[in-house]
Amino acid sequence: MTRREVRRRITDLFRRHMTAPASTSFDILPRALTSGKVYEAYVLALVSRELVNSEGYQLRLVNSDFLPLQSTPLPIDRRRPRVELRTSMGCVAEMWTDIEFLSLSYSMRGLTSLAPGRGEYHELDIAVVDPGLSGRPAHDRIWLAAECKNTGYHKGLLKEILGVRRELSLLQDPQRTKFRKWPRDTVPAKPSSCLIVYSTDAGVLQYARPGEVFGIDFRHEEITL
Amino acid sequence: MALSREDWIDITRHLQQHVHDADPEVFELLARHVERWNDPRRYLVEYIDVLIKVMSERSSGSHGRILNELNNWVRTAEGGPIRGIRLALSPAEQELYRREYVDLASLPDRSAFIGGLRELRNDLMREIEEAGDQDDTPRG
Repeated sequence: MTRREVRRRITDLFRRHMTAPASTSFDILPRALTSGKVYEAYVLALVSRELVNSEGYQLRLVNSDFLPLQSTPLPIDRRRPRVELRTSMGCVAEMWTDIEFLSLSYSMRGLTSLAPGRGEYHELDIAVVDPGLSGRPAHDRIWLAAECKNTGYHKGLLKEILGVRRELSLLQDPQRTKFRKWPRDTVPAKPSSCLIVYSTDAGVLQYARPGEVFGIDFRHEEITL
Repeated sequence: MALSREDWIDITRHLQQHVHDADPEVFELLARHVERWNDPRRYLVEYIDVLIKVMSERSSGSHGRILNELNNWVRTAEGGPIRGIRLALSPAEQELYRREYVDLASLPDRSAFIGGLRELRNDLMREIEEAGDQDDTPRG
């Protein structure tokens, strides 16, 4: 081989195969739908990073090679893709996107043989839950819930997340969470689920104080990749 | 005639220029992660090896960068990278948009490019083996 031949092969390779990618396929869809979901995927990446780096889990996507997001929340369907949190013991928890959980109030009514009413289950954008569950998980099977807001943050959203906190747990003295340190090792809630709000709006931090009491973490995160 | 030391250095620069023009982010990534060798032949082969690995798992565009970030932390059951991010539509949306899901980001098919890089790498390795060993210690 000569220098010229190798250079030409390299140039040909890049000319033939490294041209600009085709435009994305969702141009006709409402931007609000796709941008909100892209932010959710971004937050999932942030959560995944912490679960690996801070907590030492290995994360494995099962049932698909494509990360799944839903345009509307659904109960857990085990045919759907999910991310397993694995240790040397195997799968210890699962991370799902866009699921509904059964509320604390539904559990406290004690009529769980009856189908829940529309006010007795709520949506979570990202949830880490006990492994092997189907349908809507009960509030006490949730390790971590993350809400993703790719919009301006306002008081209505604060009231919404306070409602989610109430339907996940009761206010208690600090309880050990399922995590060593991330997102926190204790939370003033029983069951001791962690709850995080991610928002692209820096103003979200102005609403953080109630979270200090009730165990809600507010994070300002813009897509910076 | 075997390639000279200057030839190897020139070829490496030529490749790096193409990588930079195609994707400056990948160029920076390789600059950080490719081990430095005193022998320019070994350096070029190492550079191509890492380029193959990065291109095998990398998408492009702003949404693709999120996919790339996810692939830093999550693997599929088979141990490979996540191939894309899909938004599953509700039945009403499926009817409206005439599709079941939307690909928000996906890995482009780089198999021909990667195959070409592999062929080039193998040819360069043969060239090295025929010419014999030079100084092949990594640079401190």
